[in-house]
Amino acid sequence: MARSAMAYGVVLAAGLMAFGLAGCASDGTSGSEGGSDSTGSEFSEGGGGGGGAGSGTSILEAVYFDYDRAELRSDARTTLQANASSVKNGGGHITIEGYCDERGSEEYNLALGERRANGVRQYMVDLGVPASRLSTVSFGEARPAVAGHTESAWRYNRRAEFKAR
Amino acid sequence: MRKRRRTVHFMAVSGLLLATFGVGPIGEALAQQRPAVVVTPGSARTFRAAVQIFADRSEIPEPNQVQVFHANVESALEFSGVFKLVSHRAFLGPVTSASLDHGPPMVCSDWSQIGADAFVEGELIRGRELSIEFRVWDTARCVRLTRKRYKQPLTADQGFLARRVADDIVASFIGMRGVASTEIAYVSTRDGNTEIYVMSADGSRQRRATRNGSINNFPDWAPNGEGILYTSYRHQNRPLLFLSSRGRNRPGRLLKRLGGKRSEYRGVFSPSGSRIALVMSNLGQGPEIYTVRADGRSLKRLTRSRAIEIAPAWSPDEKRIAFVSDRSGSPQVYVMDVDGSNQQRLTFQGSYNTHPAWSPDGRWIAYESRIGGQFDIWLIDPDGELNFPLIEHPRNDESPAWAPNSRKLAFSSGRRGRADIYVVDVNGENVRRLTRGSGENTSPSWGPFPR
Repeated sequence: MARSAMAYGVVLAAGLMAFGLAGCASDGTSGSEGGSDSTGSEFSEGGGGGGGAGSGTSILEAVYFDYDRAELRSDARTTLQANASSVKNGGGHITIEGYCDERGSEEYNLALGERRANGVRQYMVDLGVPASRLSTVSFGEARPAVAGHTESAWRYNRRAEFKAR
Repeated sequence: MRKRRRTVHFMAVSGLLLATFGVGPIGEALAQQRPAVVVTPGSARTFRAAVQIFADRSEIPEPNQVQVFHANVESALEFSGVFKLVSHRAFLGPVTSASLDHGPPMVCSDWSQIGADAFVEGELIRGRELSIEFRVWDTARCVRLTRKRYKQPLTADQGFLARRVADDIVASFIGMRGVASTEIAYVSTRDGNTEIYVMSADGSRQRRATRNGSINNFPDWAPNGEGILYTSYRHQNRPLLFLSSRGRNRPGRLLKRLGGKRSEYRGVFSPSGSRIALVMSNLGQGPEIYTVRADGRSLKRLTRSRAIEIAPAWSPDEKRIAFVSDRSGSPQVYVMDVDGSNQQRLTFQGSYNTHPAWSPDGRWIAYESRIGGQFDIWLIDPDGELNFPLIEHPRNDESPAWAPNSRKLAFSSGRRGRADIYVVDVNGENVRRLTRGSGENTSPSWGPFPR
């Protein structure tokens, strides 16, 4: 819960400051293949990589979606136009992460999150961002930006985030 | 047709009973007669069981050992949904068993008179090993249905042995083992990360199976019980399929040989364990369904469309696969042949039907349906003729998973506010919550019968 709230803070802060890309390409994903931790449990496995779930730095403002929809809202288009300009002026590679709120089948939400991320990617490509610099990944219901079981949390969890790596 | 399939299923179960794994039956079922009344799967018929406290024939009896064992057998029988118990206060015959070989002859009327359909007697010997022998009687016909013996090391879990005995008592009455001695894998966030856990089917012995600090989801038991397939973001922060095997320290990537950037969302073993159906998306292409050999070779693509195609579920004969597509504009359940041909839509009510799960006996496809913003689990037969809610509850029920005997389902529900794992009988009764405490508990997968 605390972690979700923090992640949300990072997204907002990053969005407000509208960082350019340069100098900001830190990567939180390295080390996710840590050494083994023999715990003796029947299914013990290589552990380590604490923070493996925390992906790269949020560098652009997130965009939000309506329930069970992947179409870009007008507010999302405005945000993405600004994001596209930042990306075109900077360098490096961006991963667009698609997310959903907690309602519904987790597997379907992975697919919906992918569709959201793909829609964002296509729009940014249409705005002139080289496709080779944008990849996508879906997290579905995982890692909500805001903890909670009501629309006040859900509206911030149906989103696409931008990570440098 | 249906009758024949059930016979085959029963034989397969009998085969499993004879195999050994830590605990092994060293005797055998001496009588294979069926009880006077045979229930069909899904029937609400319950039987009443009178279970004696087993005779303790240990040289140095452990205090309360037979009482604890008896309590475990009784609670596993109640868990089955097949038996209700007759209180010891109602017994006309003795509460404790006599020696099985040298005791007085069985008086069936003592037990039939108090309404017991089943009578269970037994003995326990704690020596170098723990040895249990028991008999199950059909009191109406005064016929012994089962006589069986188990041995296990003194260090092993006695609760497991008691659940196993209870599962055999169920088998002697309905021809299908109970599932108290099986295990359920699931996902929990109780330790802060999203990890795979395993517990006994009655909710005891909950323990963590992965510990990589990343996101882990969609556990699926290998049909031999020796491994769990699951999706993890542990590598490159992208969903990929891993297989964890009992006793092996590191999980293996299922599709390591495939190149390219892709997302592997979920994999499910075929009932024989020889193949895996999986959902995979190549960058920007949308999720499609594939099958692959369990060793990761021989990948075959089954669906090709711009729509979302997910959630494969094998039929027990491995000839068909149920799945979900939103090609109609909303997610609906479809069925196709295992080569991808003959795709036909199965669900039509509502605008959101997902997560099909085909019962091991082939009779039902359970799925998750959203009606008026609420999610419930429904059952539909594979021909689409019968379709009804398993349970209706004002909170969301999701992710149905069948027990190996097709008499129970596990599911995830937000009844308590946060998500927990529950089990329910196929007739919608006997709902039990298995997880407690903090965190979200989701995505159950019911493991096979123990060997």
